[in-house]
Amino acid sequence: MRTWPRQSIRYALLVIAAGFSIFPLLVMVDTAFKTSPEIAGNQHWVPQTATLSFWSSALQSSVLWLWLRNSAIIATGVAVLTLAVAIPAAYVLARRQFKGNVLFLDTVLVTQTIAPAVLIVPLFELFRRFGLIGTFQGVILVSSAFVVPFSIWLLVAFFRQVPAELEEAAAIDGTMGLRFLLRFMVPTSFPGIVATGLWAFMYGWNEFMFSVTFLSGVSSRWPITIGVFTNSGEFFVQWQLLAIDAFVGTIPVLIVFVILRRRLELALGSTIGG
Amino acid sequence: MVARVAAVSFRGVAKQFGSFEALRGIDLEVRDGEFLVLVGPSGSGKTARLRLLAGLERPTEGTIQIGSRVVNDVAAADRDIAMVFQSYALYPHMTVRQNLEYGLKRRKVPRDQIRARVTEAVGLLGLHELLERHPSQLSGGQAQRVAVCRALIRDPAVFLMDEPLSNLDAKLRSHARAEIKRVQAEAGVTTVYVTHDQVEAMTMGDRIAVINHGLIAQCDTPEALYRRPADSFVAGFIGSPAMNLFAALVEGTAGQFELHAFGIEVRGTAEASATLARGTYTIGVRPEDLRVYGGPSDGWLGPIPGRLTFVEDLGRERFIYVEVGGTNNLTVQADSWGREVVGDRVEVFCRVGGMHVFDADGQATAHLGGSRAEAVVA
Repeated sequence: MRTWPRQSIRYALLVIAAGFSIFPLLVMVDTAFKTSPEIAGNQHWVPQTATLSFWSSALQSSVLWLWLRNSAIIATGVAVLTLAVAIPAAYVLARRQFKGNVLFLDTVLVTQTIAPAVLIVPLFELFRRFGLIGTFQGVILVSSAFVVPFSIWLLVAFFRQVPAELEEAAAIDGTMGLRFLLRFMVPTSFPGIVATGLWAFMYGWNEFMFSVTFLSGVSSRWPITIGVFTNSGEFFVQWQLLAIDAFVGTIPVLIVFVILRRRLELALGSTIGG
Repeated sequence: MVARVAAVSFRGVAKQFGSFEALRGIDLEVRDGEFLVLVGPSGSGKTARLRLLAGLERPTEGTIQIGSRVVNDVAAADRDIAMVFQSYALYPHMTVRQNLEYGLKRRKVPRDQIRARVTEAVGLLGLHELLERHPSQLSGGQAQRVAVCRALIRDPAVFLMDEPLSNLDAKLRSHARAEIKRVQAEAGVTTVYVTHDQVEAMTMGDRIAVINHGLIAQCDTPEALYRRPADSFVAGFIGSPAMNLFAALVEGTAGQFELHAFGIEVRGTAEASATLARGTYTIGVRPEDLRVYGGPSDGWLGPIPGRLTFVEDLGRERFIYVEVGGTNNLTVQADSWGREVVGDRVEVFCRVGGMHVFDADGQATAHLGGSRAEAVVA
């Protein structure tokens, strides 16, 4: 019984932390149902005269769906490219001893500290020369570059948990190198790979800066993050549409997250617990 | 299953990791179809030998031969070996059946042959009901059997086993020991088995190589290791409870022995006509060659007065620990009907025929047991 004050404090802290996270989302949903005068008046939390008119116009507009499709392309591209690069890299770093192994792994992490904004101008010039401005490939490439380092670290931790004896048993069965990676390492580390892929997908989905820089001239390739941004003009902000677009934009990530939640828990449990 | 009989030999094998010399000057012969056990304490280099033989490590010097083929540069997969790992190393994402089939599929064995071999091996180890399970759904004993079955199914020239029973409980272990021995005998496959457990070594091996500090201290049959240990390490390592080892000043003439140990003088008559140069030796006596009953008699050294400090009653046998000369403890196998209790004053007698004499380097100088011919005198 003596633990109850400690428990209460713990729950109170959790409620406060949850409140901080949920509050902006509540404002977002709340705003989506308010009329313009009510938003301008800014007097009530709960809409006094809820309206669905913005919802019907937003959901009927074809650009919203185009933005979602584009975001899906970019996010999937980032996830696939990240995994394609990070899985072999992490395997070698986790399982092979070579000179500079540790140094390389540390260097990979150091690149994570470079702010993406610093690279925008040189990247723009580089992409212009390679014809990557206005393409999905450009955004996917540069976004992946920023996700790969952390992904390598994450996967190295997962791959190191696979017992060395498994690799030796497979070697005696004639399975080594790339075949071992694909037939044994990937299936046995699957929760970790899903977690890493999900993290890359979310990064790609939420990516804004590179998209706005490299895709701004091609509106047909705008992702939802730019879409939300277009509701805010120089003199006027379409708050309801902005809120609806943002709300709709979070749903796919939420769905992916819910589907993969179990695997994610398994993965995080195994690295943290094990 | 028709086994290709294959002897194994190590000649002058050395292994270095960077500047660290892990093994050097390894010579070892394993005969066709033999069950050879490598036994020794942790870090003595038993597993290193097995890994060299498996092709998981490459020797820096010397040659390793399986059959008539030098395998130094042959990949693990092409050495015609199968290995059972300490952790079993079952493929966790495959069912038991897939685990068993995988190696054969990789070798492009025809499908009907794979099926036949799986059926045969599964029958031998009674694994029918486990075939569709995943390794995570198996108990330790079941996983161990699947691991042995996976090795067996490959029909290798040489079986390698790296402490396959160390994760099992005592009861299961004794059952698994018998099972592995039976399977090996039926398959007739040359087997190299690594363990740190001398009971396992004694019960399973046709021959046992006792390894200490990277070198083979003795390689012989279980009986020879027990009766005629080559040095004091083997003497102390083989047998449970361990052989009593103590320092003594020995003087001997043909038939007569005089021994100064535990601060007293003990006289006795030897069965063997061994003559030992006067000097300090390490004497080894097994618990069954000591007694606390009866008085002095021919062929027994004693009495050695002592005090009983501990009794280990195992039911069928009973070991008593006797403190002699202040600090030394002797383990004595006592009669199971004995009634001695801790604190009792007892007189210990030592059978001369059970005495092993080791010189200052620990090498056996004389085994005074058995026939006269067996007594070796330096």
